[in-house]
Order: sequence, then structure tokens, then C-alpha cells
Amino acid sequence: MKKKNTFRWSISLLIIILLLTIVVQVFAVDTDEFVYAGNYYNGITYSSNFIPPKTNAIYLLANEDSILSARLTETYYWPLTNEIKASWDKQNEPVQGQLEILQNGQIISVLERTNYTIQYDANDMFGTIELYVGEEAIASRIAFEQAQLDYREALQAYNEAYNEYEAALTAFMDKVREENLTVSEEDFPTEPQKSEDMSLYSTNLLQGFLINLPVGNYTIQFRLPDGSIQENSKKELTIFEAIQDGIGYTVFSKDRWTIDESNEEESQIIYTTKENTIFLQPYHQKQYNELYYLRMADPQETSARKDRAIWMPFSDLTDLNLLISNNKTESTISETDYYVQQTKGYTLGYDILKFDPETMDTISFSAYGIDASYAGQVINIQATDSEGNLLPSSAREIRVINIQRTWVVYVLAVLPILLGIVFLYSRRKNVRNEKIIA
Amino acid sequence: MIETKNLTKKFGNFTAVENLSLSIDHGESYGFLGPNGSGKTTTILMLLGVLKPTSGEVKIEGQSVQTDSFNLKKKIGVVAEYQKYYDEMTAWEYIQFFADLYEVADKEAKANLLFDRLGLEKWKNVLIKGYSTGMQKKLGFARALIHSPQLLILDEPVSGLDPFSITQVRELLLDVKSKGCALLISSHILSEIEKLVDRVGIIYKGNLIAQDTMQGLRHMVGQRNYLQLSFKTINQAQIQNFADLSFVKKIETKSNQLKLFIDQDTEEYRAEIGQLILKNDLVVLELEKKEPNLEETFITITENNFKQIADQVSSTGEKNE
Amino acid sequence: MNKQKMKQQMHAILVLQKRMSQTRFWGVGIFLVMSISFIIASVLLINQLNYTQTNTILLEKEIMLIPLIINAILIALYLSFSSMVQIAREYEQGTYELLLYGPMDEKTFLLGYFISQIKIFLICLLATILWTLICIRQLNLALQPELFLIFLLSLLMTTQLISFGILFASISRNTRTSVIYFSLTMLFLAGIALADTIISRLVTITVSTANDPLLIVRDVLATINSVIQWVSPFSLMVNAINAALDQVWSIFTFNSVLILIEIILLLSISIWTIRRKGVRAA
Repeated sequence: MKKKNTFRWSISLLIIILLLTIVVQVFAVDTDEFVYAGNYYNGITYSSNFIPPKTNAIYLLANEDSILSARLTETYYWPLTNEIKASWDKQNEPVQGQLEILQNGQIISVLERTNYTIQYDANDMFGTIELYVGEEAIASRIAFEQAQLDYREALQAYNEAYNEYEAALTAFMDKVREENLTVSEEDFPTEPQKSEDMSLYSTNLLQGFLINLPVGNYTIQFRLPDGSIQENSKKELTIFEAIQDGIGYTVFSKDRWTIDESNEEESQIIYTTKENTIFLQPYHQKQYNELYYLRMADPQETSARKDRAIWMPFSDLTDLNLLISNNKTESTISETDYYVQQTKGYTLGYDILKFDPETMDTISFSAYGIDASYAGQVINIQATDSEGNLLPSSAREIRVINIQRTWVVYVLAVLPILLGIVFLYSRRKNVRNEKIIA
Repeated sequence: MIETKNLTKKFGNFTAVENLSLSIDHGESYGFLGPNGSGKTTTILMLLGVLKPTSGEVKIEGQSVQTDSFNLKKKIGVVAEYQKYYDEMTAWEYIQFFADLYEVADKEAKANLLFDRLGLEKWKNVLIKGYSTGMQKKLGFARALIHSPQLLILDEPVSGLDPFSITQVRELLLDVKSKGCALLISSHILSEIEKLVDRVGIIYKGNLIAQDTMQGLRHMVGQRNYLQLSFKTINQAQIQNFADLSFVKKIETKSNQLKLFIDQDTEEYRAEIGQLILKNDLVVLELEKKEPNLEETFITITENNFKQIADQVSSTGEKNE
Repeated sequence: MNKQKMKQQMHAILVLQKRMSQTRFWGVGIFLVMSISFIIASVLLINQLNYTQTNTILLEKEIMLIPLIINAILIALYLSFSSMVQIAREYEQGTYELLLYGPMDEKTFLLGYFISQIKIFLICLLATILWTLICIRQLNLALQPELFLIFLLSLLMTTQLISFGILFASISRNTRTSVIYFSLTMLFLAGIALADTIISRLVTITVSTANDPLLIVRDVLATINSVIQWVSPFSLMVNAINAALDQVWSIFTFNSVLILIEIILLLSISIWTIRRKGVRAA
């Protein structure tokens, strides 16, 4: 009886807790909060992030320019992702004041708000992205706006010139038809040349605090014009750097050249099948602390762990050679340009051919091609620089699986039961299993 | 060999054994009697060090069971009432396992000897699950004796055995006893115990209410030896003549049969009875001196409560008419 | 504890474990389980190879990982189940009481069983290592040093599962009850982790409003799972293996030590329980 009551009470309590959780979530009211938002540099490009009021840690890369801005906005809980989000559309006000950076309890720097803008060429975003601050930001923004203006004017001039060209072409064609003239190519009106599309992109002129610090643990706080410290502005700031540099490879094969995979570590084996060609594209990568790096991008990230590391691609590598060791023979290969040629006829497919500038239009891809010829083959590779020096963390192993031998695995699997039957038979032979009636 | 002092075991408010003190010497066999629930098993478990006493202590060879249980347990063999075995083992493997456990030297020779004496030699490689109840019981004896214990605790040792096997086991037990092994036998088959024990202790409701030799026990509870006489004919006056004899404490009659309960210490009764028979010109068909058996003694004691027994003990020698 | 008693206890443990190990190989059970676990591991391994053939490449740190984990879990579950059943039977049949009449106590009894199961697992592990090495050789797979850490962790996981089994047998002293409760516990441990994964995935696919009850279910499951992860042998092993593959030795050591602590704790509770319950039911 007592047990039954306890059970009922437990169930009731559980239901009440669940209902309360729903009520709290449904009727949670949006509130105005002081928050930081940032434009951080992640080693390749600039991205933006949002640091909610209750999140106390901020992570940024060492010796790189990043921006933090103090803002007033409305926040709300988003249960789908278990995150606090900002309603920037409802409210997004900059907060006046100074950002103080402390280390070991001492203020080491007081930052004033500054103008900034981020610009890049859309044709090569990672190679051109730039953060401009202060006067330079204003100048860059003005230059961008001027470039936009020039582009629009040039576009307008082109459109006008094109309209004129079309009118002239029509008139010319009418005249040729009416008079039945024989004309050469030079007699046609000249088509106007379109200026290049504008690929430069720029953010607006924004305001924030420029942070560029060496590796270390800091604290930041926001001081209001009245001298007080803004509530929820004190955060731990971790400035970190890459643990190590390394070489990673983008790997794809002859038969599926559009599907590639990243090989980040030496311990990651590249398995393939016989009569295949593996293409490798080396790239420079950096290893970061997983928690620091992922929390830099998303301060509310929960799966990241401090004791794990993460590899991030950094830049393509060129001018390398690959040293190939295959069954006691060594050879060196260099990067080759390839052309993907669609197979003619009904069959869907393609051939990957070495690029021939004489007969082929464009290079489809450049890579280091390695032939896996027979089952059981083991190919070891390592990158060398132009002077032939072996590059650390660039070694990889390619193994050609022996799929024909899978029957051995199954045969081995049934051996224990066969052994068991032998043991059982032997036991039955050695003991007497009988009922004695004596 | 083994000695308990004021051994008490309580389970909550229930006292299973209270102030139990007993001792058994080398080569002595001790019958431990009591009805179900009297505290026999609890006592045995405490003797084995398996159950910790609430108070009091058990000493084997002067050493406390609690402090040196491993060494002392090696000196004890146990034959439990119900034998539990590992069915997947043969009798031989089973005995070898226990021989290993007890670190028996020359274990194969000893096992062979025991199998031979218990008549199990032919079936030693048979799985135990194929053994009959009696054979399993005998295997229990082999297990209990494989390490040549100095104390053998037997719980209902002959139950489930056929008469031939009982003889085999009895001989084996008398043999080990003669070699100095102390026996503690707990049983309901009292006639069998009587043939084996030197002393008997009776436990009732956790109390050891009586402990003595068989003869002493009978004396203690007021039971006497008696003469059973059958006459061709006998009249009331003649019966009274027998009753008037000084050494006759009680008389029972059944037609022409008399039971004369006599003082155990008196030895002169033979002549006086002979004279009385001649004097009354009686024709004797049967004359036999009889002693009450253990079963009768046991029933007498446990049918009464402890206080009554104590009263009986204090009034020993009184004539029960 | 004096040296002599320790020596005697060790002797009793060794004798008991010898008997247990011997009897285990008298039946076909363990052989059958080994074969079944090898067949399942083979299917998983060959699936990966078939995938490699279809996809033409496979980048893998340890291709044997999943097959070996499944293999270890199956053998570990069998050993923990069977040791639990055997111990419960010893109580039920009264053979436990008989053993205690001799030079043996509760601790040596349980440790004897415990060590016998470890010994059997080590034999199975030896067979597994042999199977793995032959597979690697025949199929031209890579032999990574981390593989031996996986073997070590599978031993730890098995030991922990066996300790769980011993605890259940010591508490229930009844074959049927212990089997039911042990099965339910294992299903619960594995089920919560599985349900958590499924519901989390389902939330991202189907949930569009913040008031969806599925979100509450997800949060409740996640909370329970976060607690379970500290006790579940499966979670601890997987955490440690992942750490070994990532070469994060602090996590590897932490999880391994946690498993060892839990083993000691489970065995201590088992010993305390059977001592408290005595040799036979009151």
C-alpha cells in the first residue's frame, strides 16, 4: 500500500515538473539585455558571433585583430537548439562607454570605441578579406562607396552605350537590307565593352572595440560614461593560438572525383580498391583546442571539449612533391593538372585525363595522382618541399584492401564453435552420463 | 578439540541460541539433539565460523574460530543433511576440487581409498546428477573426510542410506573416531546416534538443557533400567510382593507381564528377585533387563519445558509411583 | 590482514576459479557466443569493406573498431549473465553454503567467480586478437597501436559488466530475479543512450515550434543520459576508446580509472551484501 502511494506521488511530481517546464518556456518574456557581439578572425576569415548575458567566457585568436561591440538588445530562449538568441531586428543599440581589459585583476588596457569595416573580394574571399579600423576604416568604406559609385556610373554608361550600339546595329542592318549591300565585319558598329563586375564586398561602417592580444587569460568589463561597470559585462577572455601546424589532404578517387574527403591525421589510413587512382590535394592546416575554437564561433556550444583538438584547413599548398614508397621502390611525383572528359555516347561517365593545353579547354583540377594497382598493396606517401626536405605530419598510408579474402573472416568466425564441439565430444567421452539405480 | 563458551545468537528480538557451552574432545563423539527450530543448525554454523555469534566464543584447539577461520575450517569436515552438488561434475572431479580447496597432499590416493570404502569406486567417473540419493550422501562423506578432519560435523548422517550403506558409513565413522577425530552428530534417527555417540547434548529453544553420557542422561531425567518378567500366571498379592522390594521404584503390569523399574546402582536385585520367584512358586517364561533407548530419553526431555526439566533434574532419585 | 590468511584466500580463489573456468569449457555456450560475436563482427567488417568497394575510398583510423567493440560487448554480456546465473544458483542450490563450511569466505567466493570470468574473457580476448591479426593480414588492413588499447578497454568493460552481474546475483540471490533486473538495467542503459540520439535527431527534423513536447522529452533524456554516462560500462568504454583514438590520454586515463573505481565499488558492495545476508535465507 505504502509502495503504491510512493509511486503515485513520484509520478505526480514528475508531471508537475514537466508542466512547470512547459509553462516557463511558453511564457518566457523577452527582455532587454546588455550583450557583446563580435567579428572574430578564425584564422581564415572573419565571422560574427553573439555572447549572451549569462555566458561568461569569450575566446579569440592571439595576435589577430578581432572586434567586440557592446550592444543593448532583446534576448530570448530558443528551445530547439537550447540557445539564447538576440532579436536584433527588434532592438540593436550600441552602448556608450569603454571596454577595459584586465589581467590578474589589474587593468592593462582601456579600449575606446572605433570604426571598423570588413572588406573582401568575392572572387577570392579567404585570400583578400581585410578588417579596417579607425581612419582606415572610414577611408576604406569611402573608397568602397566610391568604387560602387564608379561601378554604377560605368554600368550606366555601358547600358547607354549598349542601347546606342543596338540602335546603330538596327539602323545598319536596315540599311544593308534596303540597299542590298555587301558588308564586311569591319563595317558593323562596334559593340561597347562591359566593365568587370564589382566583386568587392564591404560591411557598413560599424563601431566596436578592437582586440589584438597575445596568448593569455584576461577579463573584460564595460565601463559606462558615469564610471560604473555595466551589469553582465564582466567576462573571461581567453586568447589562444594554434597548437600546431600540419598538412592535410583532400582525397578523392578516379571513379568519384566529385566526392572528396579530408584526411587530417597521419593515423587515418586511406583504404581503396585495386585498379583505382587516388588523387591527393595537400593543404596547410592548423590544430586548435576544440573548446576554444568552437566556442569562439559559438559561445553557447556544448559538445566541444577542452581536452580535445580540432584541425582546421588553412591554405592550399603548392610547390610540393610527394615521395611515394611502394613495395620497396621509391618515386617522387609532382602536382599534375587534370581534365575531366565526359564519355561520348549513351553511357554516362567520364575519363580523367592529364591536361593537354593544346587539345583541352580548362583544367578541371590539379592533384597528385597515385595508382593503386593490386590487392594487398601498401603505398606510403610523404610530402617534400621544393628542396626535397620531408615535411612533418605529411606522411599517409594507402592500403588496397583484399576483398577476395573475406571468406577467411567467416571461416575463422566458425572455428570457436567447432572447437566447442570437439571439447564437448571429448568431455562426453571421458565422463559417464548415466543414471545409477543402486 | 572444540569448545564453546556462553555462545549466544540473536536475530533481532529472537534468541536462536542462548549461553550454549559445550566441549568435545579428540576421539569423542557427541550427539547433538533437538527438535526442528531448536537452534542446532545455528549452533553448527557458529561452530563453522560461518555465522558470527552475538556473544560468547567458539574455540577449536584453543583458537577462536573468528580470528583464524581458514586454518580452523580446514580441521573440520561437514556432512550436511541435504547434499548439494555441482551436477556437471563427476564424483571424482568433485572430490578433487574439494581436495584442492583443502590443500590435501596425496589427494588421489585418499580419494581412491574413500571411494573404495564407501563403495563408489565403480561410479567415480559418472556425473553426480546420475547418482542416487544414497550415493550422493556417501559422496558427501567422502568430501567431508578427504582432508582428514579433526572434527566431523554430521547432520542427519544416515538419512537416505540403505541398511548396508549405514553399516559402511558407521564403520567408517568409528574408524575415523578411533584415529582421534571428534564427531558431532546431529540427528533425528536416535537409535543410530546411540550406536555412535559417547555423550549427548540436548538443545531446546536455544538452550542446552541436558548434556551427559547416555547413562547419565537417563539418570538425570529419572528414567530407570527395568526388568521385564513374563509369568505363566501371577496374582495381585504376588505382584505386591515384587512392588515391596526396596530397589523397585515403580512397577507396571500387563496381564502376566511385569515391568520392574529398578535403582540403577543396585546390583543385588538378581538374588532377591530369584528368591521371590521361588518363594511364590512362579513359572517364568521370560526375564530380561532393559534400558530405555535414546529416543525415549529425547522425547521425555523435549516434551517438557526447560523449567520442568530443571525440576526433574533436581528431584532425581525420587520414586515415581 | 595477516600474510598467511591472504595466502589461503588467494589459494581458495585460485581453486574456485579453476573449477569455474574448467566447467565453462565443458559446455558449448562460450564457444557458441564467440562464434556468434565473430560472425557479427565479420559482417560489420565486411560491410565496411564493401562500402570501400562501392565508394572506392574509405578514410578510417581504426577499421576494426566497431566490429571489435560489438564483439567485446557480446562476450562481456554473456560472461556477466552467466556468472550472475551461476552465483545465484550457488545460493539457490545451497552449494554456496557448503563452500563456506570449508576454507573460504564471502570475499574469496565472489572473487573466485570474478577471476574465473576474467580468465575466460582473457582466453576469448586472445582468440579475438588472433582473429583480428589474421583479418588484418588477410584483408590488408592497417595494424594500429591503438588497437591494443581497445583490447585493454574491452577487458575493463567486461570486468565492469561482470561486477554488475555479481552485484545483481548477490542482491537478489535468485536466478530469475537477477536475470530480469540485470536485463532491464542493461536495456535501460543502452536504451536511454539510443533514445537520446534518436529524439535529438527527430527534434532537428520534425520540431518547428518552441512548445513541442518532444523538446521536453529530449531535454529529460539528455539529462538522464548525462548522468548515466558516468556509470554505464558502454559509455565509459566508448569515451575511453574515442580518447585513445584522438590520443587524448587524460580522458583515456580518467575513464579507465573511473571504470576501475566502479569495479572495486561494485565488488565491495557485493561482498558487503552477501556478508549481510548470511549463508542462507532467514
